[in-house]
Amino acid sequence: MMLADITLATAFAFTQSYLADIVDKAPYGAIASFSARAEETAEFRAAPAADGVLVSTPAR
Amino acid sequence: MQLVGMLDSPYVRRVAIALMRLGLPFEHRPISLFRHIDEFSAINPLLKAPTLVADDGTVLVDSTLIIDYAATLAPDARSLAPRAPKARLRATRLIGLSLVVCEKAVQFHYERELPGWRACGANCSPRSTRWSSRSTAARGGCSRIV
Repeated sequence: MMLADITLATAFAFTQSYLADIVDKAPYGAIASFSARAEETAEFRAAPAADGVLVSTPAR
Repeated sequence: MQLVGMLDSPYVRRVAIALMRLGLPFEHRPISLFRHIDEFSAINPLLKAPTLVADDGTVLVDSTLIIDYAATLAPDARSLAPRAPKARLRATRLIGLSLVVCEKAVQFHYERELPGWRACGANCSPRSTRWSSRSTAARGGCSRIV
């Protein structure tokens, strides 16, 4: 996974967390499924998009 | 190396994930720009998240710049950016577009959820004062380097 992938998936997650009422993900099926796969990886799970949460496994 | 900021920021989150993908150990400090202003200010008076505190104490801002620096520390020349021009062009375009999504979404979120964010509530100086103090801090940082 490269920086472009990380940046796209984290941007998409933010819109879905905070602007889901105005950003309809239906037209962005490819990005949604790409992001869903990214969110399943160890690094994304270790750094959930949440306020006040500590990165759980900072190093491998 | 310390990463300062909350993971609900897409910028902080992309740095955290990038550091892990680069195989770099770091200490995460989830300090809020809104709730822990004094604590954040003691680390970085520019009040920018993410902030990276390098091992020698140097304070960096801007997620792209932080990741660019961190990549120089990566073991076994690990990289998050393709080297071939055509692939790099595509990746750079995608990153730029995604960062604009973040910028606009964060602005919209602030405008909607934090109607007082321009004045930062009762715990913060008016916006013009904040702008002035951070700008002064940034200029001071530059003059210490040059």
